[in-house]
Order: sequence, then C-alpha cells, then structure tokens
Amino acid sequence: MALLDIESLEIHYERAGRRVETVRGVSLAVEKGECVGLVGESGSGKTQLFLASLGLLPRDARMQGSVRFEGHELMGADARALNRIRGSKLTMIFQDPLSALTPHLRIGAQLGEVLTTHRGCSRSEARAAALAALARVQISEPERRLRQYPHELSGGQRQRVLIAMALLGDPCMLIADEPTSALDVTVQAQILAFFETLRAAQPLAIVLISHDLAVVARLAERIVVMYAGRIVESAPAARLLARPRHPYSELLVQCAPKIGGPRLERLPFVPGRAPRGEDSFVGCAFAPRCPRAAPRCREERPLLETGRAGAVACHFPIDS
Amino acid sequence: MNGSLLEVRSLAVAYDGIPVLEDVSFEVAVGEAVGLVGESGAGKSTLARALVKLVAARRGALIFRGVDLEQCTGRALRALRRELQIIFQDPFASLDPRMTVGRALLEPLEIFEPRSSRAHRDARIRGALVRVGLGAEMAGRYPRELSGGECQRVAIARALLPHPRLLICDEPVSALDVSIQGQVINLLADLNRREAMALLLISHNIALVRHLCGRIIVLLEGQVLEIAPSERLPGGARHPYTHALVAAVPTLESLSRGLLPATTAGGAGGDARLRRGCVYARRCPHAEDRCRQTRPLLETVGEGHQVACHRWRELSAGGLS
Repeated sequence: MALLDIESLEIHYERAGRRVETVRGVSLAVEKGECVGLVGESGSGKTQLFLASLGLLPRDARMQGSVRFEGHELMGADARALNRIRGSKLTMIFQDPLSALTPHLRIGAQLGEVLTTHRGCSRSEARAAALAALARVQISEPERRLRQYPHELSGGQRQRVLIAMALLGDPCMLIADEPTSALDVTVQAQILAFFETLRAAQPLAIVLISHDLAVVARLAERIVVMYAGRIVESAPAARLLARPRHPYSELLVQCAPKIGGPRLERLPFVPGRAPRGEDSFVGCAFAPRCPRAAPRCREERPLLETGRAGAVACHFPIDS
Repeated sequence: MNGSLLEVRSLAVAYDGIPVLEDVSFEVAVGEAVGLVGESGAGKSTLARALVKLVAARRGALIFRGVDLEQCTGRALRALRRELQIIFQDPFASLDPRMTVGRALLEPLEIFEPRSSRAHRDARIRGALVRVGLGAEMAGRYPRELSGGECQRVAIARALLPHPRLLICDEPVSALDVSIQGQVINLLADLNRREAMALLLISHNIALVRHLCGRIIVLLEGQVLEIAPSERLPGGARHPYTHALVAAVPTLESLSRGLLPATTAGGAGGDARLRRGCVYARRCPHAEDRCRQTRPLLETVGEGHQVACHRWRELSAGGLS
C-alpha cells in the first residue's frame, strides 16, 4: 500500500460563470520514504493537488476522486480527522516563509504552539523540543532564534524555522512546495543539502515541487511532470533527465540553468504561454507549444500510458 | 570598448547610518551588457535605485554620458533620466491593475513627449509592443489577463519608450518559471545587440547572467569582490566567494559531479558597522588572520579582471577551481 495514494483527482471552480479547471484527472502514488520531484509551470496544478490532499483548498473548490493517506480516505473527511494527520504525519511547507509565520509571535511561541496543540506538551517540554527542532535544522544560534520575531530572521532562517515546525510532529511525509524559490541560490543549496541529510537520517517521504527541474534533480528518485492539470510524464529521475520522452519534459531539461560550457547566444525556452484553468482543449494541451505536434495531437487527447520505464502521455513520444 | 556610458566612482549609500554600499566603482561602456550578482542584502537593488536616484548617494559620483548625476537637477536631470530606465522583479506589481496595457504605455509618452499627436502615440505604443514580441492587440488588455512573462515584456516595452541608452534590470526573471526565463533574457539580449542599448542585469543567479553579459560584478555586503569577463567563468573566477556562487547554482550538470553544493556560501548578515577585514572572511574556507583584519582592495589580475582577495594568487596556484 502506498503511503499517499491520489486517484483520479479532479478540481475545478466556478468563477464568474466560467469553469476553471486546475486538476484534470491525476493519479499519483507516493511510497514510504520515497522522494518525488513534481515539476511544472505556474498554473499546472501541482500545488492544488496537494492543497486538496490536505483539505486546504478554498470552499468553492469542486473535487472528485480519492486521496488516501496510510489507507485513510482524506477527501470529504471532517476537520478533526484531517487534523490528526495534517501538521503531524503529513505536512507541507510553502514558498514564502514570511507569510507562513505569524508576524507578532516569537519563533519559540510558534513552534511551541504546534507541540502543545498536537502533542499536549507542557510549556517547558515544548520549549526544550522547540530548541531541539531548531538545532536539528542547523540554524545558527538556536537559543536566540526562539526569542526572535519572524521579521528579525533572514529568508533562509525563516524557511529553516518552517522546516523545523513541519518536522515537530515527526511526519512520515513532507510536501515542499517551491521551498527555495524565494531564496538566494546559496541558501537554496543549503536547504536542498539539508533535505538530503534529513532523508539519510530517517525514512521520510518528500514531494519536492518546483518549476525548475534542476532543483528537484538531485533529491528526487522519481520525477513527475505536470502540464495543464495533468501528468504528462513520470519516470525514474535519472531516466527522465537523460532521456525525456515527452517533448515538454525535453524542453524543461533544456531550460535548466547551465553554469559550465560555452556562453550561449540564446537561452532555450518553452515557446508561447502556459495554459490556464479557463482554457479547454480538444487534443493534447501542449500541442500549441509543441515542436513535434501533428494534426492528430490537436484532435485526440493522448492518455498516460505506462511502460517499463515510466509513463508518458504523448502520441509521438521521443525515441519511439 | 566604445567609450564610457556610465561611470560609478566610489559610490557609498547608507540607510540610517548603516552602510549598504561602500566604495563601489565600475564602468558600463556604450552598448555593453554588465551583470551584477550577489545574495539578498548585498546591496544590488540599492545600487540600481541609486543609479536612477531613487535613493541618495552619501559619497561618490555617478557620471552618465559625461555628466555627474549627483550635481544635476531639474530639467537637465529629467533629460538624462529618460535615457536611464529601470525594470523590477515583480512584473505584476510594476503595472497598475486598473490600467490597460495601452494606458500604462501611454504614461511615459505623456511625460516625455507631451506635444506629440494621438496618432503618433498610438503608433509608438504599437511599435513598442511589437518590439518586445507582443501583439498590438495586447494594448486593450489588463495586467490580470497576462502571464508573468507577458507582464514583464510590457514592463520592458514601457521602459523602452523613452529610448534609453541604459536599461537597468533588477532580477527581471526571478519571479518567472525557468521555462520562460529564456524568452525574456533573449529579448534583452536582442535589444542589447541590435540596438546597442546597454544593460545592467542584476541577479542572484550567476548562471543566467553569464550568458547575457560580457562582464560580471560580484557584490557582497555592499562591496565589490570581483569584476570578471564572463568568458573566464566559471573556472577562471579568482574570488572564493564567486566560486561559492557558481557552486550553489542547481544545474543538471552538477549531478554528474556527485557532490553537494558548497554550503559555505549562505547566510549573509552581521553588523556592517563592526566589521573589519574582508566581508567574506567569516564564511570563507580559506580565511586566515590577515583576511579578518585588513580589507583587501581590488587589484587587477588580468585583462578586465579585478579581484579583492588577499590570497587570490596562492589559491589560484593551488587550483581553487
């Protein structure tokens, strides 16, 4: 049994009389201790997928499908049942660490709250545990951080505090949604290296969400590429990076930043613009931007077909 | 070199007495593309704002087309300022949500070309949109109808209208998906090459800057640590901090190296008033006593290549790269 099992999930909204579809049928299983990299552009539905899993979507979201965590159905579960799981066993961190912290509470109080709420700890126990959690995420001067307010910390320190908070409940799964996109490359490298040490120390499943393949490449064992609310390719990371089969995945590989090699006259990019939830498609959603699109691609939607080395949704996958 | 367009001489800026930029000097030649890299808090955006006089310099001179901007006021300053334009990181925040794209583009024309005819302005707006690869029909749209990349191109189109000789781009693509960053960077490269418009590209990502810019300035805590020709990077960088910036960039190439990126690089900060010595010494794996005591000055290490490091000679001999 997979740790997290998302099946045929669909999410849409009715906004100003228009149907806005953010997830258009996604099935994704994450195993215990597995690290999955989820890659796609803004609006591809990658965040919505997990907000839905945690019951964090706005009230007007219309959902279909199933999300099971350790076999328990989360869709339609009440807040009490969800609260036993989210924030403890299943936890999520976001791109902007400043808006995820309460500005007028000291770091120590915010970490302590998690422990007194979820664990029923006393205040002194909570303080000791909060200090240990900060030490664990390798933040400098943890004692001092407990007494500080969020605005007194740097972006990297704030993200470490949020990771510490996410780890307090001893989770078996961490969803990290663009955890380093708001940070400098140097701090990003530290946070990614920290995830690596974390996984070496304990069996923690991580879903690392990013628009940049290179960010997930080092950590992920499997990479899932989303486009317009659907999975277009899923494969072991090494295979997908070396031999992408979907033309979109191939373009994403080409767009990853390069530091070595000769200077480029022009940088590679995916032409056109990413589709939105209001757009509807007859054929393949990527066809308008695809360098390999044929008439069939505009008429018939390719289904996600699973083969020996992963799954791809394309009528004309590369190397076929 | 085509002659100097902008010369920054010993620029210093302070906020509430705390130094943010100290003794920063560099030049941008006519039509040149220069990159400015560093972490948050390095003073990159302050430098950009000082160049367009959005913040005041405490010391130093900004010579633009032979005129010191610090001494220049009123009409003369406005005339020079139109040739010196800036775009910012967040393309949505730089456009007014209640204005159509056409209205947003009309503003600079009303300011800089107050006596032009309606037909002339319409033609200029259409031309500007086409120049940045957008259709003329974009003029009727609102920012919320645009993608991030389209918004950033509108911001560029607006900055182009006064015919700038230097466009300052402060993190122009870091809010955009990697998949479309290339579109915007290539557009800037085209404008730079075809129209000889000089660029100052500010970014925390050295990998991006290296392709577009001929020279790269590395800034840390308000000080220039290295100025290097891009073709010498990544291997020919002489400052340990530049190497740390290079190593930190996540790339697919680095996977084959199988190493963790350098972790010495992160965590800028500290009280600028208390420090002596090299600003990188606290984090530098090669620092020794003199690095903590005396600040290294920029010295020339090659053609167009300067570095401020006491140990650059021994470190490059020892194969730092």
